Amino acid sequence: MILQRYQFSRIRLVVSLGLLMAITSVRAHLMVEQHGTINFANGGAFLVLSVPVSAFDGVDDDGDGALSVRELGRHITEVEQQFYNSVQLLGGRGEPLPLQGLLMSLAPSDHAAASPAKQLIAFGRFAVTGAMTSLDLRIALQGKNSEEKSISVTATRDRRSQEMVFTPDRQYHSIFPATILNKSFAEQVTTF
Amino acid sequence: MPHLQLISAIVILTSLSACASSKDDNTSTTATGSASGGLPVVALAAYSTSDVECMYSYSAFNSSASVNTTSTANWFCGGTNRTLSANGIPDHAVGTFPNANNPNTISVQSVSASYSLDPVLTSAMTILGGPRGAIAYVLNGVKMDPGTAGTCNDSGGSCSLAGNVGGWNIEALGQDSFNFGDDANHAHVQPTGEYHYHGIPEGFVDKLNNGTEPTLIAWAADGFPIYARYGYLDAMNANSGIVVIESSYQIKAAPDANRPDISLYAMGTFTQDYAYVDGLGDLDECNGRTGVTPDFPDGIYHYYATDGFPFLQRCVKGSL
Repeated sequence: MILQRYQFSRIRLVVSLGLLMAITSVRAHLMVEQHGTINFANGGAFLVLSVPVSAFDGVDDDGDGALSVRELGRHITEVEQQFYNSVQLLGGRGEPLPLQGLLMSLAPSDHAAASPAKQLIAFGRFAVTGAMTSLDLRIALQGKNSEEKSISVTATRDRRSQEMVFTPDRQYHSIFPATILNKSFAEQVTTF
Repeated sequence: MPHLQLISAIVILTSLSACASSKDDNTSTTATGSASGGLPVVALAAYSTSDVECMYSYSAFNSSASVNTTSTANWFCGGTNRTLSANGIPDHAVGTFPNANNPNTISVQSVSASYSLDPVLTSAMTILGGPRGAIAYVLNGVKMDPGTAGTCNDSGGSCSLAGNVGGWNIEALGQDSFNFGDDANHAHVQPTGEYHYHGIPEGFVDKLNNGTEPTLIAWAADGFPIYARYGYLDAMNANSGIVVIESSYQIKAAPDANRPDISLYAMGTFTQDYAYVDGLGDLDECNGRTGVTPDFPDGIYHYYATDGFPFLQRCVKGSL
């Protein structure tokens, strides 16, 4: 059969997604609990991290070990500040790189979307600029329960990956330590 | 041959469960109810799918390294419904799971679904996915679940996380800043072990080996069929040639208010970066259109899995 392309020449009306976009709901999990990824692409380091609610101080008002929408709304500033202080990408001199565009999502179970969540998923972008020759990732948001003490994070850059496990005793990991000997990190990032 | 039963503009109650005061076929009646938004829900056309893919059955061992178990899917038409019983295991090669960006392992699921054999196209759009219920199942019994959880940014505003709604949904496809470990089938694995598609199930399409022939790959929750990528140039003419069907969504010209800065997240990162533009492509808001297909030569409303956003539909237009 003939493969042809049907072209419309006119755009009649731009319709907002409205209801379609406004009533999005709990969908596919984007990160497993106690896991995370940091992907170096497009001139930045894009972080997705699922952290336990019990790692945050002063936000679980009813002490149920989970975070409700109301609790998060009430304490969003504290949650964000603790996240900024505890999850950092550090440059060669140990300086924290800016974490920009922080996004938060509660991660309740699929079967109880409205129930308080025991995990919070954070999305953000670290600004990776300049002639950085080394980077360390620091995560100090371990939870209070035994299964919440360890967070596994995979760093990816192009086709390379590095797995790291953060615990109370190991809160720092160097990212791609071998590769950065030959090239500044900014150069690596921009050559994707 | 499937029977086409057109009902022109019969207005019924929102739930479509109450009786409408219909008059003669092919004539309009007055609205007797209204949707939650105040607009009446109108039944536009009814169809029968009772002669199509009623005996689809598959059971075979999948030796793909990350599967290594039997894939089973059985569809059956009985009474007024088409039912699915499956184990959610894909029947084609898959990527490596767990992988660096998706630490989950594919496992057997208990999949069941029941859809109408006589779907009714309405004027309403119903959003599905996640806890709202599966929007569709591919014939192989694997779920289509293209949406993602909502997030809120740190710029204030009215973003609500109630029900995990959030203001910004990061797309699993169509952006490369965040990597969610999808394989070549545009699929990845939930923590529950459920393999699911965010886009065209390429492995399944390849397995059917229909080339550019419009190929039925799935059934939507409202009972209408879903086709992959190809359709007829003229929706109502099977002899008009084959084209790659395109959705009618495009990236918005300007970002929404309070959107995270585009210097941080390129347009296309979020679901909200896209707008439906009537007439831009071939399809409506739910990636559907009415037309003939090889399975429905008399015409039917049907959906498409497309290469571009929304990849897989996020809503249905039939009654549920």
